[in-house]
Amino acid sequence: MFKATIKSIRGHMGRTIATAMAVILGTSFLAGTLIFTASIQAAFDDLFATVFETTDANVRSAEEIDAGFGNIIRPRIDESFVDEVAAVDGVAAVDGFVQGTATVIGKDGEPIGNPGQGPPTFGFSWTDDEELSQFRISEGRAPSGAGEVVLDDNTATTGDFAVGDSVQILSQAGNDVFELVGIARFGETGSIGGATTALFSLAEAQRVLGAEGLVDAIAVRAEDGVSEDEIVARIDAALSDDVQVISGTEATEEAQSQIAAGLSFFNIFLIAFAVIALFVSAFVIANTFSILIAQRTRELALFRALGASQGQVLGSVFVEAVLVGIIGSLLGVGLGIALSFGLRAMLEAFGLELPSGGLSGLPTALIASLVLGTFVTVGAALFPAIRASRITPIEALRESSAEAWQRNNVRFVIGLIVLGLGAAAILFGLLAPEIAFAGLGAGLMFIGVFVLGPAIARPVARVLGAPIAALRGTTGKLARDNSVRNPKRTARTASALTIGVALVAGVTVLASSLSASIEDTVNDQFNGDVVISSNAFGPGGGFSPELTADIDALPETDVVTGFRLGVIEIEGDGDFISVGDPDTAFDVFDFGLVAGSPEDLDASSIFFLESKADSLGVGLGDTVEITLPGLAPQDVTVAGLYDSGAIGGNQIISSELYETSVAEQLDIQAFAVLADGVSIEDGRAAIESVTAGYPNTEVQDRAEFVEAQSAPLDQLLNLIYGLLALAIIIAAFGIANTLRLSTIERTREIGLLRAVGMSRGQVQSTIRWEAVITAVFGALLGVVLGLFIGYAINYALRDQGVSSFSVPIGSLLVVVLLAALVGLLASIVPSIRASRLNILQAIATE
Amino acid sequence: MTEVTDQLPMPDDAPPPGPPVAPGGAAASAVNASKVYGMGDTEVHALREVNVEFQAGQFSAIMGPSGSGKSTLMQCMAGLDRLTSGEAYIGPVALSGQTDKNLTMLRREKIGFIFQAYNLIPTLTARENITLPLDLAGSKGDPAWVEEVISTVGLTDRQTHRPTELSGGQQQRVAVARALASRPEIIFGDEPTGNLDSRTGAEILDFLRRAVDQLGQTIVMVTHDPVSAAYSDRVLFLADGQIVHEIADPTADMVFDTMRNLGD
Repeated sequence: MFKATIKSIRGHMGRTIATAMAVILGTSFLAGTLIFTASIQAAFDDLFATVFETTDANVRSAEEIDAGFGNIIRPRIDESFVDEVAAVDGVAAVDGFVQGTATVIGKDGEPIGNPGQGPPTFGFSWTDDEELSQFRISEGRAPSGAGEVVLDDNTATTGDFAVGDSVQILSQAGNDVFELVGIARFGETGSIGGATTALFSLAEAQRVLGAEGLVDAIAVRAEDGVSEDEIVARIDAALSDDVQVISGTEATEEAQSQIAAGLSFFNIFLIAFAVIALFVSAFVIANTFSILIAQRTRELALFRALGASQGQVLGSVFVEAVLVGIIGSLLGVGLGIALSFGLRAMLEAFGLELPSGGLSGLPTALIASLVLGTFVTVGAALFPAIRASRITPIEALRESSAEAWQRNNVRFVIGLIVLGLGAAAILFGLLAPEIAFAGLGAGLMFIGVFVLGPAIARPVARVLGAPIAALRGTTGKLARDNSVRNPKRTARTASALTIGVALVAGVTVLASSLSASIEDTVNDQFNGDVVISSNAFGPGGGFSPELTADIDALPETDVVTGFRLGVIEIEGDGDFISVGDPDTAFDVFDFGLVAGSPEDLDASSIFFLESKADSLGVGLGDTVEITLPGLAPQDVTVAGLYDSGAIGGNQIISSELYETSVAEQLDIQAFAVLADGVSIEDGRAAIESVTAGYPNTEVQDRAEFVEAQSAPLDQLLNLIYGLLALAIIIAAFGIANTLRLSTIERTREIGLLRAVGMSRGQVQSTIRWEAVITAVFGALLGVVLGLFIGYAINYALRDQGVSSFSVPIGSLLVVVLLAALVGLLASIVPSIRASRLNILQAIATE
Repeated sequence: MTEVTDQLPMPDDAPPPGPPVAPGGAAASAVNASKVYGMGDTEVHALREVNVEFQAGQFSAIMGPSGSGKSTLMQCMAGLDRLTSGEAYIGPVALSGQTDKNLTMLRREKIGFIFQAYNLIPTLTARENITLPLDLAGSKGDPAWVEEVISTVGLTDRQTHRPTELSGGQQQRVAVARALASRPEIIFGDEPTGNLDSRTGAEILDFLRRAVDQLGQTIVMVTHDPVSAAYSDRVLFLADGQIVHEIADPTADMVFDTMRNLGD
């Protein structure tokens, strides 16, 4: 029996490869994801290992604020600690350093690099000790006084700067011109992982980066013969508890684990798509196997008649599935390696620069793909195999391979129940919220649709085919009839596409609703005319408040308010915080204040979003403990509550309070209301004349600003579309597979059609339209499911400011049309193959 | 997609390759037709220099033992297969060198087919099956003629039935009606009654006979049954790829005797 199985695989190499294709695509994405994230992690690990290679100990503030997503802010410490550390016995050298954001402006007036979206733009203090710094002067000299700067080699090359040039640099201190006194290289490379770096003398760095009298941390090199642990213990004993000492090894591990935490989120995101791809593959594999087995029923029955047991028949299908699974998975890992480069290129196209290095994670990827790929293949082949083994030899010999389909009411009811359970699980999962339940629910719904599919396919395909039959004449009619004659097959073939399209449609509906909600809210609550935005997304970027003041000074503006984004710890938990000027912010925005008034926001108070106050269990007049960077924990009064988080986020403090901290004081955006009688054009022109000196800013009028609010969402949406495309490609292979097998089944029929005068073109056209009907059926089902999923998520988010539900009919129509195109592409190879059949042989086929 | 040509595709440069024998107004003819399968040791000569003409309005039968080349002759003359050498003509049109597209048009417009079994497309109704060649050409044909054909074969009240809902005889009648519907120049039948019981078979043969007598149709039929052959005007006997005998106005006994003699 085993020999027969191998012969069967070899005898039908074409269809074996086609089945394996689904496994290959499914596993390749899993392998690609694992290899990709492991490689990035390894590259970052190497980078940090290099950075801390020569540091024996690191002294820094004992406090930290963790705002989540890897945003850990540690306050600066007083520079007097530098001398204290240097005095410790066994310390060979110390470097109290400062780092922050400094954007180098190129000669064309545009920022170098891509601040806000690309790699960071660093400002550092220069370290003379060669063992504590990886930077080496390659040209000119080190920075020593005010007004002097050294750039990294890459930035200097990109900006075409030479020693002696003037360089404009944006920082918290404003927009200054420095003299380029030298160019430095970082270790072996020109820059730190693609970042731009401006190096200043310590005193100048403290001025430029807003750290007068402070340092970020102190790097320590021990004398020869003094171990890391030893020096850490000695420094720890010598210093107060306000500061913390960690060894160089610990610093490396900490940096590496921070990156790992950031990557793990990303990894889970990608693996979710890999699971989707595998799920879709399972449908394709199951469908292919069930058709293959249906066609081989006679062959299997012959084996049974000749004495093969049920178990042997089952075993032969099982062996075939295992072989296809293993070979497919192995090839999938190979493709995955290529895909990992593709993922990198795709993310870089979306503006994420990543450090490069060799391939890692191959063993994990290999094992995971092999196990999952084989498991999925065998699982998918199991049901058809069991069905095949149960057929008695006589039944099988009698039965024609084109299985007739009868509507089965029990099946129909079971399908409805599974569908309903799935819908319930999604709603419960989203409202609880228990994301795993929602995922399970989505899976159940797909299975429900899979079970119901055949019953739906016949009427729907008939309706879909009607215009094609009317327009395309006989070929259209034959196409429609072929898609209706075996509704089970049509439905199963379409199911893979249904899943892909449902996810695309769900995401599209959700994104469209989110955009609409954001735009509605901003429209309702923003009273300004012109917005000045930095292209930074979060804390650690923006423009100097000087710019905001300059715009405020313009006669064309009435009210101007700057907005900062920072991190804070409230009752021990980190979060982002909005920082505004109470004198102006409330004139420009309607936060939906439900308690308190604008003047209540001062240096000792905080305003909360109502839901945040509820979750903290505090109300108006209560006090909460907050920690700002560089400050001791302090109590502030809850002086106001508001109900719209769209602009203010979870909490707002005054700029007055925030400026007492050591955080970088950069405005992320400024909003202006123009003076009476000033037209938008004039006001905008006046503001642009001021912002001209700040190339990292963009001036938008109200409409542009409102639209720009959803731009990051669009980018994320494109990324998700890119990842879901894989599921669609797998579905296309599924359609091609089924068509190929169906045309093999209909060989004699095609021969007859050719004999009575059907041209090759007409044969192709028939198969093409059949594919289109199948694909559009799958897509429509997917759109319906996607609408439900999108609506469910939308409903679950209704308390979080997602007030609108918007159905982007145009986009959904495009999705359906694209699905039709996918069907068309999938039909190319099978249709050409069918049209080239030898007529005589085809007619003679039994 | 569907190219409707009023004119039969004609080779651009007449005369066609092969011996310059003009087919003398026959509905179909073969000149020095040879067909060789395989190469070298496995070479099989299915047809050896066969010359034959089928006159318009005549009902011809081709007989011979299996392997005699009778099916090959029919298939090559009907444009379903290509000759190794020699030439086959449908009317004045030489088949060799025609593109697949031209051969398709030829089959659609000038040739009708009746196969032994599986003549019909299962998803189409009886009527749709009958008009299939016309529909493929995107033409309505002659509606009055189509109605006449359908009523003549006695399928008027079965038009909307699907093949699975028809008896074997009815299915074969649909196939005959399809062959007639487009008024082809010639109909080729490959054992059209081979799968039917003798009574139903007789019905079909009667009908083919009437198509020739009353409608002037030209029919060429391959058969191995002397009774069937007796319905024809002329029986050709093939053996080893050659025409070895021919009888006109046959009876079943004459055919049977000839077969026995040839068998010796």
